[in-house]
Amino acid sequence: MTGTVLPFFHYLGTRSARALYAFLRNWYEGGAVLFEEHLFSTLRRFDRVLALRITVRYFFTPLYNDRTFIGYVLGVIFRSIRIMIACVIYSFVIFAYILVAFIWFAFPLFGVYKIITSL
Amino acid sequence: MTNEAPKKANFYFESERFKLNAGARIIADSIATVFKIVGLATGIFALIAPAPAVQWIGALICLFAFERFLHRDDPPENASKAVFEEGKDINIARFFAPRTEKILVGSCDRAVFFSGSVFLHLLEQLTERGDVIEVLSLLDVPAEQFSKAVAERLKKNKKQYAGHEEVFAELAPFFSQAFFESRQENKRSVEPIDLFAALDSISDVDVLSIFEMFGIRHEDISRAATLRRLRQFVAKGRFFRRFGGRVRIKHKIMNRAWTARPTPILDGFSVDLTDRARTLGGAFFTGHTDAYERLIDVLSYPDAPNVILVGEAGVGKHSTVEHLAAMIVDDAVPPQLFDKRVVELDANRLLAGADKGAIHERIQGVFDEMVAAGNVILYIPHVHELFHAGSASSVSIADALVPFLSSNSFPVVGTTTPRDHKMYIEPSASLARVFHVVHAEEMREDDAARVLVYKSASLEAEYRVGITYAAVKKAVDLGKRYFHDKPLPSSAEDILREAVVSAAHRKDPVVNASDVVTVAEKRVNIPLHEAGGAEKESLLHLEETVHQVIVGQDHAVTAVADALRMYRSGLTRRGGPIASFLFAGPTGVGKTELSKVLARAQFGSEDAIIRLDMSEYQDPKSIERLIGSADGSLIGSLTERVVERPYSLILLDEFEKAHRSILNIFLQVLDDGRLTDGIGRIVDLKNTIIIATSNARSEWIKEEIDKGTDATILEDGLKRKLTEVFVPELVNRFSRIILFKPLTFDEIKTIARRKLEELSCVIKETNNVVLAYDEGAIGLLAEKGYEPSFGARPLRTAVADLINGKLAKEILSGTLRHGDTVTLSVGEEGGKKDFVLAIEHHE
Repeated sequence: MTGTVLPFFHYLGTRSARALYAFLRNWYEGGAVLFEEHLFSTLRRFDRVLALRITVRYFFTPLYNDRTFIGYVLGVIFRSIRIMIACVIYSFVIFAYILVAFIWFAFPLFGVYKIITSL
Repeated sequence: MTNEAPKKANFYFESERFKLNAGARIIADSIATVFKIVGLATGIFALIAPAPAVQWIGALICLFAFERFLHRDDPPENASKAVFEEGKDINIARFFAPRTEKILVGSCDRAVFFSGSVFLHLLEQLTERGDVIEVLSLLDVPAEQFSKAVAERLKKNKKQYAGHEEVFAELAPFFSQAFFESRQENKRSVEPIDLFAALDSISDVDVLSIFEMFGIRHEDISRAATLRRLRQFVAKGRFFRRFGGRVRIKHKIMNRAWTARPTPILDGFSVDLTDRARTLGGAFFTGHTDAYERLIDVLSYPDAPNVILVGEAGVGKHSTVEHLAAMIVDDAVPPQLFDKRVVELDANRLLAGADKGAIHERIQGVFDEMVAAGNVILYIPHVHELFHAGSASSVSIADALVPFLSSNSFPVVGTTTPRDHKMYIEPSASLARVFHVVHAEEMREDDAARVLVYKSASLEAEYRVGITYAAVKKAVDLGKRYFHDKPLPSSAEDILREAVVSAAHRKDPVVNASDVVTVAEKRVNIPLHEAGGAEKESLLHLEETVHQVIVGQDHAVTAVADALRMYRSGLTRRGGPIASFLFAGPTGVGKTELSKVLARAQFGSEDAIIRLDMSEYQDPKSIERLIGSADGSLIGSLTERVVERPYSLILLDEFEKAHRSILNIFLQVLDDGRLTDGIGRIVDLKNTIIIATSNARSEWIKEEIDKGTDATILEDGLKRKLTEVFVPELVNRFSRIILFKPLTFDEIKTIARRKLEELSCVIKETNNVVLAYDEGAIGLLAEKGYEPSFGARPLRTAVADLINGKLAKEILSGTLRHGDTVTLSVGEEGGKKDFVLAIEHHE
């Protein structure tokens, strides 16, 4: 009898514990990965147009390969504007993602907190 | 692919589910289900409860239930992201999807309760699943018959297990195999289809014999599963953008670093492959990784970053350049190629619609723009056309391009074929210096099948016709074996596309292997399918059919018929020609006639004969006429015709008269079925029948036959005698040396009778005259038309001179008219026997 009963409760116990563990892991670890992947994919999509790192790398290269004084000056001016726009947009995107992620991660904890404080 | 990593860790399988007996497991699962239902109901009711604490409890319960529902098929751990450290113990049960584990447990229970191999039970359960049924149908395997075969085996299999532990022990190695299957595809969990694929790798005799019975091979299962996944991908619409949808390609005027300049003139005469890759995404690339790596290496050189991709048309040169564009878009290239554009020049458009001056200006403008832009990799397909001396209009592009190439102004990628490279690029020292040659070889069949799996998904979307993996595999197989005008994968894609179009016209929903064979048969005009009922009969009685044309030579006819039967049964030696014969014997005994019959039987027509009179190749220099010259200016009479018609009968008349050095090239042909032509191209002769005829040692044959020597001894003796004429290794390489005996008088009479029958048909058809003849006329024709040194060859002249001439006179004089009957008999004139015509006029 003991030979069957013990594994039976062990099976039920581990199954329940695993379900709870899987939920927490999916919510926090999976959620973090999901946010990270989405954030970087969004930033990559923006970077196809705004090209922040590339713009910084080529900051002093003349604009449109125009190796005149005007070309160098315009390069610095336009690239500065581009970098500023990119920084604003990237900051906004990152902030938006962080905000959503914060709500996501805080929701279960907030629920537990509300339960405890409401009792 | 991460199939290497799992081998380093220590893998084991441990699951709580397997530790319970069936009854306990059912009870536990039932309790768990009840808990879930009650829990969810409690959660929902709690949501509408007045107390905030209860509401939050309800919210968390519902959240938990919803999350669990979404991940109900997920394994405890994601295998695709797992790290397997060397020496670490890894429980692979954590990577099995719950539904996979349920099937395994179910099979264990059935094996214990009902007896029978656990693997058969597993196979039985799997064949009830939709995904496995779909894979079977992609393999052209009828799922119902497959299930029936499994059920029958299971009935006979009485294997008994002591308990779950024993079953579990038997399954242990299988768990690992299924896990490796899943890892090879880098899946997140072990799925039921992985169990199905792994079953082909275990040692259960019954399971293996079922797979064998239906011709299922391990690699085919994973390919069919890939095709199934692609179909799902198409169904979800994700595939459409890349392969079938109408998408506007958006051109980016400026590079991302703002360092380049716009190229408005160039844009008007080119296609920007990086724009295409950016909009459509990179296409599937395989099989030319070496060529691609060499391409990016050369393009990264500071000096002469120019590549010429040399490969046969359709080998995948364009795909390699497209892949480069896709990798540039993904920033997956060396820094030297970062942020570049791959631009395909349309030379025809560049040279069209303007006078010479304007064209010159245009060309100069295009190249100047590229230098100014500094980020263009110019791609010129068929680059040899620009340097082809004959194409006067293109010379201007070439003239303008060469200085830019020499000064490394911009990188250039050109494509050409080996022949054109040899003829137009290699002779020019300046071009040879600036271009680095990268060879794109024909894809392996394995890679071609992978490419075609992806292409078939797009064909399905385009024509709304299903394609089985068996059809894909057959197309690759036939493309490789019979269609040498293009290399793989193009040859296979052509056949598959034709089969799909044909099925779409017939409103047939699925293209399977037999549809592909039918299309291929139409193109090559030779039977490729398994011999059916009528054809089997015809092959079994081939000698009778041949004897309707060939008189006597029973031994030769049987040898040739045997060769054909072996070929159609798939028993011929792989690697050489279908068959190769040396027909030895005196002239006029049926050697050429038998070759014609063979060509009709195997290739459908006498047009399939490539006939070469080897007496024209007595000079060692004549080898150029046979295989082509090294500079490509002279095409080979043998090689070029075989390339044009790879399924043919090569008849080498008077073989012994060819020069010894020319005979030597046939050593490789007869052995490997391959011949390297003048420009170094390998010509495949594996689908040819090679017949060499020779009159050498005919006198000796006649003497031995007159002495009454036995046929087998005679054939052995002939082989020895022929080594006096040919080198022994050449004689030994023929599949058969076939002896043709001189014709007997009776055989000559039979031929004479047939000649008169032919004449009778002709005169009836052309003049509506009935020609009758008696035995005497046949005997006289045989006497007049037979000469020992020429065999039956003079018969045709005898019919023309002695009979046709007389008949013509009678017709032209009006004596013989439509509807009359003329009887041919023998009379005497001046003491000599001659033909006499008796005309009976029609009333």
